[in-house]
Amino acid sequence: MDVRLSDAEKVFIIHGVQEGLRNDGRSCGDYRPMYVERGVLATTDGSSRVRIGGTDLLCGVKCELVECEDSSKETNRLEFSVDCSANASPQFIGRGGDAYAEELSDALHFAYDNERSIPDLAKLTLSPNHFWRLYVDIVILQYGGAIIDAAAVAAKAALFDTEIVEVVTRQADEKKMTIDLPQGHLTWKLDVKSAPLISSITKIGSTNVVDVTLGEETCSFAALWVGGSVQKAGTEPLVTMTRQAGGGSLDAASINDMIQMGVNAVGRLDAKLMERLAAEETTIPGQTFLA
Amino acid sequence: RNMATLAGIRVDISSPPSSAAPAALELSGDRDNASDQFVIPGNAVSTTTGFMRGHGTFTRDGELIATLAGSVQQVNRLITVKPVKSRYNGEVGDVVVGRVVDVQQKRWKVDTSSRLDSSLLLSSVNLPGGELRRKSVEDELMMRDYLKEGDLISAEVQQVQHDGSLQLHTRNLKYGKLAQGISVQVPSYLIKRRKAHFHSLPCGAAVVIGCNGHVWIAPELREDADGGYNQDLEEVISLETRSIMARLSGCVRLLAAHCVAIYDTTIMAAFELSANHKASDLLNAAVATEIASLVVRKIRAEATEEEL
Amino acid sequence: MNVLSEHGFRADGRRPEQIRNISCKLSVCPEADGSAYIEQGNTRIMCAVYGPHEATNRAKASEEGCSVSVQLSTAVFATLERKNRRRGDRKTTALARMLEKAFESVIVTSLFPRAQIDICCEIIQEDGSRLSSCINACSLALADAGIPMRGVVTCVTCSSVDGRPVVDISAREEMDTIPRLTLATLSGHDEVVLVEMENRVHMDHLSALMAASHAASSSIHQCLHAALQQHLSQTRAIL
Repeated sequence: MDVRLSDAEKVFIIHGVQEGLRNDGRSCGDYRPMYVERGVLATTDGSSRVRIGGTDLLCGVKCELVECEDSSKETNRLEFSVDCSANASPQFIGRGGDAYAEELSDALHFAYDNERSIPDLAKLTLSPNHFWRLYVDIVILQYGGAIIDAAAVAAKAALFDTEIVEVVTRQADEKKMTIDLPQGHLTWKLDVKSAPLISSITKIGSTNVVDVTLGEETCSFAALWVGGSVQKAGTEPLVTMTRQAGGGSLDAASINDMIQMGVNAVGRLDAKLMERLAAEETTIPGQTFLA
Repeated sequence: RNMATLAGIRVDISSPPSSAAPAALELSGDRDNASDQFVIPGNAVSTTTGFMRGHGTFTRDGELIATLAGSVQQVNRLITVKPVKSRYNGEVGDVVVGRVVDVQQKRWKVDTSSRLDSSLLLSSVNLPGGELRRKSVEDELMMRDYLKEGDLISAEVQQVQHDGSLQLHTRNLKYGKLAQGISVQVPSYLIKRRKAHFHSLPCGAAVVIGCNGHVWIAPELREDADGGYNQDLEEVISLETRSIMARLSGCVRLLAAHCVAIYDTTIMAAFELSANHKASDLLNAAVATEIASLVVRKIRAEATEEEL
Repeated sequence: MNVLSEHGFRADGRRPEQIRNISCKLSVCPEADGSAYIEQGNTRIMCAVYGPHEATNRAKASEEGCSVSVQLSTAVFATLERKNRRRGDRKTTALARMLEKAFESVIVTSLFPRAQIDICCEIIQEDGSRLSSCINACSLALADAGIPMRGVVTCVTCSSVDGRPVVDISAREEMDTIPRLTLATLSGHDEVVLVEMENRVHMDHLSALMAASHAASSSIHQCLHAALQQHLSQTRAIL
């Protein structure tokens, strides 16, 4: 499923982007409609499904109780992984599926790797010998562009959906702590209001564009992934990550513009996502595929 | 800094539509639940006495068994099973839009979404001056000057080979290399074979409807004696035309998503009925279903009027 | 742990001869030539078919007919216990080869020499009868893609507990101490497309197990038949 365009088709796209009218009628700052659902998997503690254009992602969050010598030495509380499903793999021929998946999980890790993203992350540390590790696993079911944007949305939505079991710590032998389950099944959730989102800003010709389709992608050599975290509702996101994607180079002046656009996009994505997450009730696992 | 600077970015995040496109149309009552007899692979279609087996069937113990999921068609004594979806099965005379995938010795391989790549022989194209007919080592390099990997062409099916692969030709002024435009791929079963597949639409753009499901939207139809060899890549298409083309591509997509047959009448109906929406709104599932539904009703109403 | 309670019920409340509830949907991946999603109890599989198209795998391409290539992967969150499975592990590769063989015998490959069909199967959730559910998902996806087959293959995995056949087993019923038979039949009739036996079964119990498996496979065929019919009527071209 190699998306190759002719020179004439590329010229048409590049001129269009310059004029602010893309092939599907969107302007340079428009995202395609995005569908987000929560509670779509039965085997995880939190899950989400995100679709945008031809892109389809599943995200599952699993909480693992880790026992160790010294929990202050183990700093990884969130582990991200991205996998390309068998169904999407023909679409990855020529894109280097596994390597690309690693780039995505790496970017997510970096975007989250600071104290501002999840302010109550410390609650995951239960004792000097115990902590919760959250595995955030993303599976790409179909590839249609804007993957990193969708992946970050999926991760945030799944984390929002994640219920962590309430446990009790108490003293045990040899000055160590032990973990017990309290009476009744209680759960709590992390505060993910400031969890970061990522927007990929692609440069086509000399214009910056969000959410490129596969065809538009072939007209560009360079893109910038901008990760941002909204600290306070209504304010501009704090940049937590920038990463260059695609093989081409960008000049310094471009980068500033692209970062600004990325920050704006993240702010808008975040506002809409939080609105959506507030509205949704969890669906029955599997229902999302049968509708 | 304030969110006022967010002007310029538009995001829409929602819950998915309650039913996916084709079913959405059914709910609104626009699908006729015709009593078409469907069979699935393995179903017995009839006995073999007096019948000949066509595509989509095989014989076993004196019975004709379906190999495809689809509807049973009988023409005289020939029984075939016509699948709903399948890879494009070309026939001689079909107009197709295809993408060049390989340049070989004296021929190009073209992807027409068939089961095998199609061939376009060097001897089957119109070129300036006939210079490329020389049998020399420079042939392949010069062939690339005309068509290379990624280029789109409109062509006609000249021949169907034994293995089912198609041989194409562009030896007619209306065929050849395609210039600037938008390409949309839809399932080939939605394309009906008609008298004309090249249309200059009244809205101010043109479409080439390939029987193979590949629809090409262009600013205008061109007839080049050199098969489109000379292309002006500097040309800038006007914003107005571009906007019409974007709307047309949205219309073709929404028709395909709702399993509505794609031909000039349905495309123009969708175009007109989408007038009070922005072209980019056609990406919205609810808007798309609304327009598809209006198209079906309009065309049906016109058909009934004609009958009366 | 007993598979059957003293009253003859299974852990999920089913009787031994009862198959799990099946739900499915076709054409779930618009980019693929054919696709399907199937749920059998808590096993959830998505399958996409690409082709037939010009063979890219030259080694497998043949003048005799079309080649079939299966890719299988399991999501990390497919089981209750998170398993980071590498794609090319032995068990997955073995399953993929079995799927290839099964469908090579059913697809009318002689019609498409030099072409290739790619079947891609993703296990989203696994609760037993992995191979069977994959086969059922692939059958639907191939039918959706309009690829000619001699029939729709359905498959089921069954056990024998004290001589009594237990059909369509879930993960907790997949134990190494009891025999497991995976049987794939064509169009719900007698033709066997694939048969695989794990662990040991007593000769006296084998025929009952085979008969129950045949019957269960036929029941599954009825479900898939209905789903295909419904899908066909929903996706015919209008106008």
